[in-house]
Amino acid sequence: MNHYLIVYRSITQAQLAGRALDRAGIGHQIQRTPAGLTERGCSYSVRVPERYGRQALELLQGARPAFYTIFKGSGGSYAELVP
Amino acid sequence: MIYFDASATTLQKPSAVRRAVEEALCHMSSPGRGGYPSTRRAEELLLTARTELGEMFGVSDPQRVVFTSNATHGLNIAIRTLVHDGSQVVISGYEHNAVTRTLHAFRDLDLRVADGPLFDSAAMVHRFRELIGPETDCVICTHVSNVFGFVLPVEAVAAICRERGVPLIVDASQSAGTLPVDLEDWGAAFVAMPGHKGLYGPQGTGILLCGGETAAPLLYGGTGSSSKEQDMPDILPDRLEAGTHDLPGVAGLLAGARFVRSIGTGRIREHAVVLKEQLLRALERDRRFIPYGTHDPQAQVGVLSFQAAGMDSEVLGEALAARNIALRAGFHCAPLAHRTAGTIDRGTVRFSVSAFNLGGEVAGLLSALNEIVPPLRG
Repeated sequence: MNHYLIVYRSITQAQLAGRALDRAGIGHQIQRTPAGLTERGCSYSVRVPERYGRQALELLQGARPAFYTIFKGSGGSYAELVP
Repeated sequence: MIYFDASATTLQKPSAVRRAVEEALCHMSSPGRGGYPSTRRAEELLLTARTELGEMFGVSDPQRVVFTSNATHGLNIAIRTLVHDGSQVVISGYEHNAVTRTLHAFRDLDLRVADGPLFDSAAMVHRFRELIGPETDCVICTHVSNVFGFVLPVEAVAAICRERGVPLIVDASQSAGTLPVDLEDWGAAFVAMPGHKGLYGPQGTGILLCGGETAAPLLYGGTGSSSKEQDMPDILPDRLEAGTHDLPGVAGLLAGARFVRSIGTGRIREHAVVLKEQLLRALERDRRFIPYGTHDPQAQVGVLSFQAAGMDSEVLGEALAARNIALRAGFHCAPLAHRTAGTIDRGTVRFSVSAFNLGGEVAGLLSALNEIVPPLRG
């Protein structure tokens, strides 16, 4: 299923983003970022289904904590989006 | 046992603390180390604890609530962030060794001690105002003296620091859970507190509330984040939380803090002051004792130091211990406070209470003191 991975530098940051999405009623999951996507090593991502992508990005863009980067996932491959 | 050593550790804990510790031990693994349910539970617990403790202590961003192994650990981080060899530091005359020994390890400090008589808040404010200058790198003030229960005027000291642009470290070891503690109201750089005293958590837990300063790590190691990089992460709480968390400890600390919130710090303090007054008034009536107390409820919490005429404080403490009554005697790891108050020669016996103590226990202590301490000659 197509989705977005909104990447945060720590579990705490990802959880806080998850709480903001919860409050807005936006479905999501917190997961570890695939190792191949992370230059810095371990990190956590908020995974949002494609249908909620725009809503989630509007909410989290410019919010604190700031996300590190965003990927669009499709069929097992990821493309980094320029925020 | 009659336990009056809450200033060291509250021994009686709410039953919810034991249950929370057990739950964490049995069902939670390392946070930030995986995506499986036991780690997720641990992560949820940590964020919930950071959020609730932040609400309790005036920290709007949960990332700025850092878990430490005790208040000393937090104070070391705070001091090592703000103080360097040659710094000018202003401290109160009632600081604990957690502050003074940490400062002693620096070279060529210009250390200025704001001293003043016990329970005289105005004098303390005056001294801080005199000593904090344009060259001051850092001010450190305990909120409550661990020896005397003296409530220092932290709000006023914080106002001076804000006015003069000097970072403030507050040691809230004896006030957290008893008095309002608010990092953002004070504009403090750091506030350190233990989990095992007035917050009724397990020993080995503590909290460091972080303001705007970029804190220097004390420990280096794994954080479950940015793991390919060899520098510690520059984000909180990861920067200050290397290694595996004491999850059962944090779970117990959160349960203890919820207990405090459910009763209210105001009620806990009132109860403590009532018991302290019961002892203070009795000791004041008996010429064998020298109590260091005040009847001003704003100036002293439920901690009271006293001496017995002609009797060593440690000997008295041991005699009480033999009767299964727990008070702490000696210098309480705070020689500076004893020097400031004029009790450095003999030390004191310290009575300190928790929400679980009762008036009958104070009566039991008084009865034991009456038996142990010999009558005055002449």
